[in-house]
Amino acid sequence: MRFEEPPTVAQRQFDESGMEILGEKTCLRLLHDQSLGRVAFIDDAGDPVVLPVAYRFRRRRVYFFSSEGAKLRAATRGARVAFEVDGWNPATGDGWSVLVKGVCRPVDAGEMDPELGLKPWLRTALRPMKLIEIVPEEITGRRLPTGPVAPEWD
Amino acid sequence: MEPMNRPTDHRGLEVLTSEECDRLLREAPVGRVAFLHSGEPHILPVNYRYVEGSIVIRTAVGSKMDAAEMESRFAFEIDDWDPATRTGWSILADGVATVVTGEEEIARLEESGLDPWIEGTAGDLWIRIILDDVTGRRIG
Repeated sequence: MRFEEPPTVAQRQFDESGMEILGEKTCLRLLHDQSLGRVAFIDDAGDPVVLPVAYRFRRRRVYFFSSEGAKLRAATRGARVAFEVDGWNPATGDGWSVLVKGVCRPVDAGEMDPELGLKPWLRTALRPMKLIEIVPEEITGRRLPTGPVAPEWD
Repeated sequence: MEPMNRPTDHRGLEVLTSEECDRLLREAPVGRVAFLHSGEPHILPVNYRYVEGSIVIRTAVGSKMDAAEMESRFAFEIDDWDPATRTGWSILADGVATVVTGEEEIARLEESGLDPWIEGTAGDLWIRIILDDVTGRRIG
């Protein structure tokens, strides 16, 4: 990944647990560059569920396909969801994650941007795949302090 | 290549055996844990160990996970995905999370070699998720 505006060492900020706080531009860039994320929601029994999804991040929205009944029910309800992407490199000690919190909803096929470039994960899926979007209300990112300092972080 | 007669689920995904799930749970460097925080779903990446059928995590006192409702269900996920070949796998698991409080048990867990991500964070907590449901799938 690349910073649009690499922070200098002096500009780095850390949270109370010692993690570096990523700026919004960096979070958006990371969301834009990745293609696998995990979505967490509350199921009908009130328990948390987490699922990996192939996604695209465009115009500040997360898009993914789903054939899952539970995911679709959550989306239909306009449920609050958490969405996460991360990256790890044990060799360099680098690790980062971006968390999106927001509301998800199904997107009609007619609304779908053909340039999204998103394909259903399962080419053999027996059930129709529905397009879901997450409208973010909060986007935050953290990075281990052990990784290389920008701009070497790439 | 694997033989074509491996079991698949209703979506056509190959089902991983419990032995494969055990191996991947022992080997993956990072997992993600999902839990309820103030009534909303939350998800965090964690370093963890897979010990005696449980996911063991270290977190700081005062962290989001510390604030999560304990004795409640947590969901846990590991995966690997190659966008170039569109192949990968994932394991989903869940169980009830508890804070480990017994000194002997903590001493035993410390031998698992699980270090906190950031050294020197004060007052760390050991959280154990006793898994009662583990499913693995392979894609591509």
